[in-house]
Amino acid sequence: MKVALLLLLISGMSVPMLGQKEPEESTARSILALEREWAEGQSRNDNRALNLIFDNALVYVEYGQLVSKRDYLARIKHESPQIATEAMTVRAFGTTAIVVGTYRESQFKGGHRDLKRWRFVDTWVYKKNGWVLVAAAAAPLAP
Amino acid sequence: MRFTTVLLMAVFAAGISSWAQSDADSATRSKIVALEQLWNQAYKSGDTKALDSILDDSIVLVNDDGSMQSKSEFLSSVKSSNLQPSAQQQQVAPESLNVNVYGNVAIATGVMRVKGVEKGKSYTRRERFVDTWLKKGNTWVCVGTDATPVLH
Repeated sequence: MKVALLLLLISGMSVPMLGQKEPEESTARSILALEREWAEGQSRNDNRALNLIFDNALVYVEYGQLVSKRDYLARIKHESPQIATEAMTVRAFGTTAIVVGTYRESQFKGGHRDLKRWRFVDTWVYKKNGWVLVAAAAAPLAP
Repeated sequence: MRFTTVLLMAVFAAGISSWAQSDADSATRSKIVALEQLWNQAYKSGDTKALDSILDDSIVLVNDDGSMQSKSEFLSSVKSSNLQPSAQQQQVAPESLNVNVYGNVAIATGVMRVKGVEKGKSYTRRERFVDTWLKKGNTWVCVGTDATPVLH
């Protein structure tokens, strides 16, 4: 009888834990898909796609400079860097998600190919119409 | 007449709600500014207990050279630099700070001037940081921080 109660208690405890894990996994899937969408959108100069996934008050840091959403989209219109993501980890905190990872950026500049490696941290927030990127920063890594 | 009254009431309610929201955002901004100041002071004085209370256990911490640290690694480095002040960064002076609020999430960004000694050489550099703060229960904790050298 005691064993049955204990089993019932354990199963009761594991259900919420499982329930907790599922939304986190689902968040991670959504965020990774958006990160891919971002990299692809950037490579295709697709400003319209990027406009939808960036919050209007996006804080974007590049080479230590703060770049507004408008300036970033304007630059991407004329540049199409090829982004190859190496690794990404998503940490979900309810309606907030932090992504940390590294990527390689390849761009044709002044007649030669420029290669860079970056470590990035992105913050996504779930708003009325879905997940939006609210902050992104990248620090250059040794190649 | 009825329509006008209803419309006025709706506009008034929207105004109240927007005012309450902006009031809450303003309170959050003040709170985050205070927490950023606390972080700087605790870092300078090597107060790992204070740092422990404002950094989430699963914080994502990226340094200006792109290296990553866990919370325990960061706290250990603060402790050891406090024991050997010449070994690491010594002074952190914030130059600017801006906070964007999204309900229970806040993004703090700014520039800080870092002075220190590394391998016997003194240096001064400027770094832009982006910190993500999250309200867990009634407490704000930092869940992500990134520092990038200001190059240009």
